[in-house]
Amino acid sequence: MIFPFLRGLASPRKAPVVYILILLNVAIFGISAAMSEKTQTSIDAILDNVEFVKTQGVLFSQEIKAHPHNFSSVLRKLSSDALTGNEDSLEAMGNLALRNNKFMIQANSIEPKGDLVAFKFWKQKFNRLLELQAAHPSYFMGITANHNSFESLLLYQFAHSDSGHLFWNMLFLLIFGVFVEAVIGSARMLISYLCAGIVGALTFALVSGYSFSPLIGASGAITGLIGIVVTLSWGYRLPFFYWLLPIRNYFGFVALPAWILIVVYVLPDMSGYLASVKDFHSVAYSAHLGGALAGALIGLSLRLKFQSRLERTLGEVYSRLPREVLRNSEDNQGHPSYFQRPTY
Amino acid sequence: MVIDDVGNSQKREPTQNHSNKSDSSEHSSAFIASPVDRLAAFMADLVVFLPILTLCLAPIKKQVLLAQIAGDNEKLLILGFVGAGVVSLLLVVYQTLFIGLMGATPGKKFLGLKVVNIWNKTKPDFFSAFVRSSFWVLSLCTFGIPWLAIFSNSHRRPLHDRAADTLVLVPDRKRASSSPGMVETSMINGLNAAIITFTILVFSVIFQSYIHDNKHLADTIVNSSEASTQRCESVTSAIGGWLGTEKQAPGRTEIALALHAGERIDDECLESEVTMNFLEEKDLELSYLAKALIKQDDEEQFADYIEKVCEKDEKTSGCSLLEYLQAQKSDAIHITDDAPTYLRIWAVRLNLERGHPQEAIAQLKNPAPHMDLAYYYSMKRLQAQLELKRETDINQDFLASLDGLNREERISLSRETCLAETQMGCSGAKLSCQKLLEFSTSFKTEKELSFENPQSVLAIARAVRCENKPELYEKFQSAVEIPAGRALLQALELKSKGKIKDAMTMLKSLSRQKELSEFRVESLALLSELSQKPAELESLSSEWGEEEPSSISWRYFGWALAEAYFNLGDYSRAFEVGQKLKDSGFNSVEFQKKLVVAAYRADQVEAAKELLVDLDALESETKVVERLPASSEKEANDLEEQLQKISEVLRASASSSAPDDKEEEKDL
Repeated sequence: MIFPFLRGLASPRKAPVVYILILLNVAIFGISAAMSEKTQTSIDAILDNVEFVKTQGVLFSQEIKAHPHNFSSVLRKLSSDALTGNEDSLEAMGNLALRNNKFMIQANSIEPKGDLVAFKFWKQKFNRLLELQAAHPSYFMGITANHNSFESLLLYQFAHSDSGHLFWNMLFLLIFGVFVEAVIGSARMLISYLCAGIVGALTFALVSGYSFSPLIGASGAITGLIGIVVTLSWGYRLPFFYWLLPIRNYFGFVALPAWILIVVYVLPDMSGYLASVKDFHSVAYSAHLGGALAGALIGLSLRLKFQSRLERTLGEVYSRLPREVLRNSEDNQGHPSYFQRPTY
Repeated sequence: MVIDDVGNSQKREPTQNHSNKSDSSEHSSAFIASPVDRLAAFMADLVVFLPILTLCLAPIKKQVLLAQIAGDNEKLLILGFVGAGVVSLLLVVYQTLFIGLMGATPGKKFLGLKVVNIWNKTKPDFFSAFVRSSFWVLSLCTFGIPWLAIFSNSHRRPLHDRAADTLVLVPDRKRASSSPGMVETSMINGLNAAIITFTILVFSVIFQSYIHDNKHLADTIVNSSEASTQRCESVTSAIGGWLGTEKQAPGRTEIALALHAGERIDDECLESEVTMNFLEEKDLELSYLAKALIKQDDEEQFADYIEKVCEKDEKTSGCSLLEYLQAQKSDAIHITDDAPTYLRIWAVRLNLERGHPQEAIAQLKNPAPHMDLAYYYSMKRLQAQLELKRETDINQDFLASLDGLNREERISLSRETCLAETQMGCSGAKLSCQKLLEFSTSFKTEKELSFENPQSVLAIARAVRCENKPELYEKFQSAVEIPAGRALLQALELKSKGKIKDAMTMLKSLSRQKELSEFRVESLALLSELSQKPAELESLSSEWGEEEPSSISWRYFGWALAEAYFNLGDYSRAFEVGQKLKDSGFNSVEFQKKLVVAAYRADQVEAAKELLVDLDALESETKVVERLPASSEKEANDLEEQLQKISEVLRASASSSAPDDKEEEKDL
């Protein structure tokens, strides 16, 4: 386990924008959670209704059967299973239908075959679901196929659907945000952060296409911050906290090259993106990667201008760490080894 | 490879190194690295290695997901092997490359550890780095058990170090590890066995759950490739052997509807049938009918489905059935003979539910169309007869129903019939109790014979008593699982052996158990039969008053009480109880005959006259020659004779409207 340790930068006085962003995110999360509680229960009630999901599965499968060329081979295979009456496949199709743009757009106009009464009640529930979703913070803040104006490109970055998602995003915003803010300044940091988020959303739209399940979360913007940190401090060593074993001397501080951040934080997004199958995953890896790319470009463009400020900031951080770490980071400039051994 | 004991020289190494300053500073100081350091190095390696590994595995992971969706198990297996191959290859390449190039993996470097050749204490060449890595991966394949040698080997060299002639060193004296001492070695050796066992156990559990999870995942995302049809199995099995009572053989949906009506399949089963119909777009009208029946509780949907069923023709039988259900009508349903089976069963069911047992019986006159429904038919027939309080007709239906039932169903039907027939004491018992004993004793073992519910114990007790086979009491006692049931059988056994007093004591204690009402009423009824003193009967009579009037147990108990009064010669009380029973609808011929005699003897001449008129009407209506208690043929004949005289006298008095002959008749 390893993450950058930037003691001395993390005070609200030194990084006001980061703290404002965190407070904003938490506040929006709290408000939207309170607002959406009722809506969420109603939505869940509809989505938990097996009959609704199965009927939707039948309709989706029939639509795929009627227009097979419009859908991926995976969906074609699944739908043919569902049409043999396999209940699990029908349920799976019913759930996948909600993520499929083509279905969501046409759903109300598809001519159903079979149990017309069941379809009638499905349609009632389906339209109720659309209404509920329109009133749900995740949907009106997030980016969806029919909700992708410029405001939503900004707004989606502040919406989180669950507390775990929020916690990790805010933790990384704190870790990387304070460093970026210290080096390039508050205003530039804010603009870069928002830009990275916007580019992330646009990349997602370009690569995966907008979906009917909303794109939300600060992840894209935060990966952008990582990109900025990596390119800004390329060639320098950053202080890290490492933890190998719960034994003294096996956790502590170490100065490591900045590219470690790519290995530890950006490669997993890359893996996730490569491993994801369209319509079946829920993490927008492409948005993360887009954000990271935007951040890297921003970092590169600011690199020369802020070199001295970067060195000053790093010096400040190292000065607060145990003397040995600082010494190592100075002594080992240009050293061929990849890692510095910790001191004992 | 040479597995050389270099430990001794290693221990001396620091001094050697100090004496040999010309040796490069690369291993100026070197001590054997401790297992903890090496574990930490491994953890540090993971920080870099895992992201690289997941990146390399990503395309395979995608293929795995696709194979799971497609339910392609063969491809999944191949991908599993490919994945394992990629992991092994990456591990070997990673270690070989870094050890061959720098003498340590990044993790080792991070902790200052280095891998050296045991002979010259220098960086190993690529070949031995490769050998070391390969053996490391092999150890991993055996759940890392060979790694445990690090705790017992004197130079902390597990298998991969020994195979490649290498040694892992640390430059810092403070972190140096000594060779494991005797204590550590023996302790570790002892522990090893335990650890190995534990590890294997843990891994097998993890492996199994992994396999299970994967299977589950594959199952939930999509069915496996051998997707069976989603039809309901009970329907499939019922199609064979279906009697073609209608002009043409009924379709699958019709059979499903019939089985559903006869409560042989549940809503879920019927729903899966019609789901298939809708997908295949066949039998749509019947499917809508089925859906309507399933959705009866949901008013809105029910109405919509009815509309759909009645859309084309409002006169269809299905449509009228649904409208009957929707309006919650309670008039009797009459159906034509060519109506489909499901409709007939619904008619039986609804007629019974809504108080038209006569119509229900009429619709049950045809045999059940399938074995699976035979039992349902028999039980419904029995229920209807009970409703009609025609205990006497039950027996005929019973015999006709036995064919075509399996053993459990036969026992169940004879039990219910026997209980119903003995509602008026043993005199009513016909073949059913005898059959029940016959079927029950055909069981070989006591385990098969076990009686778990009170009803079955009660039925057996009555059957043995009424069939007069006291030798069976003991056999059944051992099979009964309810203590109260055993006590009842025991009391009956005592009674049959003539130990009336003991039997009464047992029955009295049994009658005090409020929670088992079946046994309580049974023992109260038996107590009335055994009572010899009017005082005892009085207390029982007050108990009877506390029972819920008109309930089955009230009628049963009341009948026993009336009989007891009659036998003791207290005719007025017998008439009183009997009148109450009659008012509740008790109308068997035998009962009424006795009631006439009781009334006459209790000086209730007017009542006796009325009863006689009722009796004539009843006899002409049922046309069944009543059999009087077989146990006392003489008494029965006496009763018949008396009745004859009474009726003559009463009729005579009625015509002359002068009840003077009463005195004479009282001597009877």
